[in-house]
Amino acid sequence: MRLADLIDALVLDGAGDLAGRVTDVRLVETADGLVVDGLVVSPKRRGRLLAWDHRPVERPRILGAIARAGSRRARWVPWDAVASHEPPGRLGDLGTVRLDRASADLVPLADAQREWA
Amino acid sequence: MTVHGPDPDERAPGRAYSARFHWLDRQVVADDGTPISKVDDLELDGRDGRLYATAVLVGPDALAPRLRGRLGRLVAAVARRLAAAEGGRPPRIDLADVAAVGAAVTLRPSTGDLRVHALEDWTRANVIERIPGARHASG
Repeated sequence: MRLADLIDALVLDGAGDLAGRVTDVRLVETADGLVVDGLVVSPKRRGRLLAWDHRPVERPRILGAIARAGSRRARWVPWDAVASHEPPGRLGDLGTVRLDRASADLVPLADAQREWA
Repeated sequence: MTVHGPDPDERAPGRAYSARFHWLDRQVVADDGTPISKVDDLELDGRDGRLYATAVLVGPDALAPRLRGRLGRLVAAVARRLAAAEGGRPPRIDLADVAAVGAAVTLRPSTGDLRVHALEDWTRANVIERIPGARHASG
């Protein structure tokens, strides 16, 4: 499979409800190789442009405020919360990621970024 | 005296990346800085319940799935035509050949001919060289 199968994929939570779309994928180097650590999921289109797994924008302050506002609904999905993932049925369509837990149980991206810092 | 520390862009266990920020659309360069292509996608392989990135994918065949709808299918159709002309293998750079990830994705010195310019080669042979006066250009 490819990274393109995950980026922009529809994310369904444990109840089958739409949790959002994948806006970014976090990769971590390990002794065994470069592994997918988890997904950034955003429910709103505005957040998809700004919710990246990267150091949060702090300065200048106005950009920091815009970045926080755009990504405040973004959630962090560790890879072990992914129950299954399906590639697009046809090229150009969206893939699907299914979680093993409810959307309410997902950690806000900002909290996860603080742990990584 | 100048002291050179470790390269902060060098790949090392524990280092984390944003796929969108650090990898996708980044320029791929040889160890001497020669531009090669850009990262159009990453190949992922499932193993032991985890998903590993195993290669950088380049070219229109790699880019097409990232384009939605008809545009993606059109680009894929062009890529299939080019792949047939090249022998059917889409360009792929094994991740073991990637030495560093920073402003660009830098390959190790031992990486050989990658043949990633199928579209450029086709355009040169079938469009550019047919323009009257094309052979008069310098360089």
